[in-house]
Amino acid sequence: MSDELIKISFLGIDERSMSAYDFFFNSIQHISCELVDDRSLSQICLIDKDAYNIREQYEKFTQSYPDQYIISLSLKEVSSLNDREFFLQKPVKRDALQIVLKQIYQLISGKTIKKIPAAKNIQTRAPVIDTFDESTQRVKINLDNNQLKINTVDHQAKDDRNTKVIPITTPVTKKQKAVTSNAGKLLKIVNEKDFVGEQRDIDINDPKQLDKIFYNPDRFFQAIVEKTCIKSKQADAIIQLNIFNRSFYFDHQEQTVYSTVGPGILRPLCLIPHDNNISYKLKDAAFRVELQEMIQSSKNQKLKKTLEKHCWNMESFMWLISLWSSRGRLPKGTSLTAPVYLVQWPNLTRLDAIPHAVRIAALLIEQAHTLPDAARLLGIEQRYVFAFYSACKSIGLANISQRQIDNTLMPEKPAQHKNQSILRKLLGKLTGFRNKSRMTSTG
Amino acid sequence: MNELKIIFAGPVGSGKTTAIITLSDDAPVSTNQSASDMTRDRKSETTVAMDYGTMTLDDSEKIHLYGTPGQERFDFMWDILTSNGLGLILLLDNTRRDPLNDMTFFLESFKNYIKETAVSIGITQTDVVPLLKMDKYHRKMKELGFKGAIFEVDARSFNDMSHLVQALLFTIDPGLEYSA
Repeated sequence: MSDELIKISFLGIDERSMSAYDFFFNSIQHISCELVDDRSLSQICLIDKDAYNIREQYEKFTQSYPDQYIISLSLKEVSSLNDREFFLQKPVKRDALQIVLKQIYQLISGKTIKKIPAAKNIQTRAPVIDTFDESTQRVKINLDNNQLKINTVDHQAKDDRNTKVIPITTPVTKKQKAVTSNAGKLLKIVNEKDFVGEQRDIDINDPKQLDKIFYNPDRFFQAIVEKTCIKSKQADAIIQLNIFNRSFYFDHQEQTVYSTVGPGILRPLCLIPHDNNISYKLKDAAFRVELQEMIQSSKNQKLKKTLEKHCWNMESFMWLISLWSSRGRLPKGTSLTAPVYLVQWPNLTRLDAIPHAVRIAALLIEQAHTLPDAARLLGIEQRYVFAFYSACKSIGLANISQRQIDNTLMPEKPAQHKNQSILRKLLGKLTGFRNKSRMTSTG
Repeated sequence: MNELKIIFAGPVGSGKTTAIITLSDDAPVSTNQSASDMTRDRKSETTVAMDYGTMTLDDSEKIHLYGTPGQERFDFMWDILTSNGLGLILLLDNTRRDPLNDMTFFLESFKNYIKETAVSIGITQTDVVPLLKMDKYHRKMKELGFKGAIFEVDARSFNDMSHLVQALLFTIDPGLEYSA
């Protein structure tokens, strides 16, 4: 059946709401809707009966255009309705609105639309209209039991006033296996190699290759940082860490780490095995004030700049140190055969970016997987998954699953979305293929 | 023509308008008006209808960005808005009296929609008031039976908003691949 054009006007509805309705009308199959400003040209008028001063406008409209159909919307039930008027109680259910539109279309054109598109997302939070009320001549729609009951009050259709029952079928989502074999494409992330290294995938069944993917954090700066964070937490105080003639201040209460060195020195520090040439100093609460004064004091501009420049959120600092230390490897002792899971999503907007982090997080949040399986399912190199896991582990967000069920579930490729092509384009737009870094000023 | 949309929801002043401006190709039409009494203490201007912007992917494909009005009395629009939607971006204002209560309200309100699609949550205004610990947001979300990313965001930052939308996309389909 070819699409028929129905002209719709609005009364008491603002432009933005019109825009939403326009979008909705365009999604209805078999009926083409055109929004018109001139109400004398429309066949249906959508009226918001809660709008300011609507009563007068409504009366004027019905007197001027008595032949037009009206769809009235209101939060409250409306007591009196025009003969050609349909009523929908807010919140407006799209299935209900769709049915009413099709009903009016049938009345106008005399044609029947056999297929009603499947209803999706019928919200039940707000009360919906129930049954046809003969006395008030109100359109009643019942969304119970997956059925829509609808009636009209049009005189031309009086003979057909019996309640029609239109079945709503539950949409079946067709799940397809995802094809992710080409996901190794790297994002343009600065210092990517510093974070994830260059280690190629290994055969996990070959013991000779296993050494390549493990490192021992205990021998590196990472372990000292983790230990100092714990010390600061336990003492509930600022801990000054001195290592290689450099000082760091760990403040658990403020969740902040200050250092006298920047990333240029910090990164190499992560790569050198330490020789226990370190010392800790416990600072009392007064030092917090002293530290702030030190930062703010005009006499210490150089130090102020240094500290401001080298001040991190504690979690971000641990994440960064872990990435620099692991470089795409795993802490020694990490199981490659046990499923791992994420406790929660890492706060990725405030942590240094690593390629595929969002994908890996989405996968491991949904279901626990072994690390090699996660890489295989996403079609990405193992080093990205290993780096991500090591960093998450360092801030306490990743763990080995102890649940028996996670060991018995066969790893499956993620279900492919029906609009994957358009999603991929959107993703491309969001991730660096379009350079946009503007900061808007509106709040 | 293939056109999909992403819905932005959240309480008054949570940054929905700004987020849509940040992501849109063209500056969306502003619908902000003087706030009513109930919202004036939160924001001098507020969105009474809805925000709308688009991201053009190519000649025939667009992603529509719709912001729901922050005021609850406009919730009648929500069901209409969500048809053919990809998912929900929920923005929560960290300076509100009870952001966890806001989270509960919006997740429950969009429950059916989220079940069909996905949700990502952005916590805004974290620079104004020390962040209510992220753990608390995550715990509440779990308690309510939802899964989804929760990030600190500045709605003015394209990078932050991009991460939030990416999280939504990968939650829908982790098998998505990056491509030009």
